[in-house]
Amino acid sequence: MLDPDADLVARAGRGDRAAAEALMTRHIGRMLALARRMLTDAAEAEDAVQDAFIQLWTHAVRWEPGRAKIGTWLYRVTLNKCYDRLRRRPTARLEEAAEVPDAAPGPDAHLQDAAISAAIEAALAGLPERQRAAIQLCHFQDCGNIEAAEILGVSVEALESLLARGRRTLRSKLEHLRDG
Amino acid sequence: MTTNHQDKDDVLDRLLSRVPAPPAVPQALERRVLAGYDRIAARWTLTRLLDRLADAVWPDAPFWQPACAMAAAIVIGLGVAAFAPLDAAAPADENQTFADSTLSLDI
Repeated sequence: MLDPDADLVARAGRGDRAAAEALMTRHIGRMLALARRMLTDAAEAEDAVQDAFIQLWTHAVRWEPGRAKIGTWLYRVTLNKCYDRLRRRPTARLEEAAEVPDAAPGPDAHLQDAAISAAIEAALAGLPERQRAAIQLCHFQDCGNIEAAEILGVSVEALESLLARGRRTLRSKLEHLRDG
Repeated sequence: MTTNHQDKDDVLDRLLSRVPAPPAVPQALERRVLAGYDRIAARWTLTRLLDRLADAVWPDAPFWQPACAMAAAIVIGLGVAAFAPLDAAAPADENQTFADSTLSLDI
């Protein structure tokens, strides 16, 4: 199957700035969304996305067509940049992120929604890296199982197992929100 | 049991769908990404110049072929310069000295 981005990468590799800009516009939104949900820190997520693009530009000049789908490759690189940053974080911060805030109903519906979102995001942040990545890709990035497995570098069966375990953990952590 | 499990799955899906979409991509980030491209593209100019040079020496060959041929030529050249006897130059120098000395005697 022909990758719609292959031509853009080839042109970007020949110094065509417009092609580089088109590539960036096509992918930056999803990459940033993935990084933001993985890292829960906007500034760090932006740095991870920037690093991923630097890697793309470095490889663009000698990109071999048909080697990998560029979108998939970019999300995998973004995810790896996120893993690197997560591993560099002090442990205390991870534990802090894993705590699920109490989303008790308040007087203001908007505030309640925000509290529920925060609780869900915190529960997601508390998942092990790979389970979190699997849920991010399949639930929020609209990736199919095959593409998500390719991005994570695992088989589809392994992805399904990661998803099942992640969902089980989330269900137990978010039990108190069931009626919210 | 299965229905209960399915219900729990539906509840989780509903909860996950309540997570708001992430905010728009900041323009500053787009500018940083493109600045990174410009920086790397500037480096390619030298690479492309070397590629063109290699293509002129040995068209359509991978870069290592002309590079190896040139390295081999340099090694052979240095070897010849270091070990080959260069007797032919010596008599010419001697004649030159003789001619110079004759000239100075005349003066």
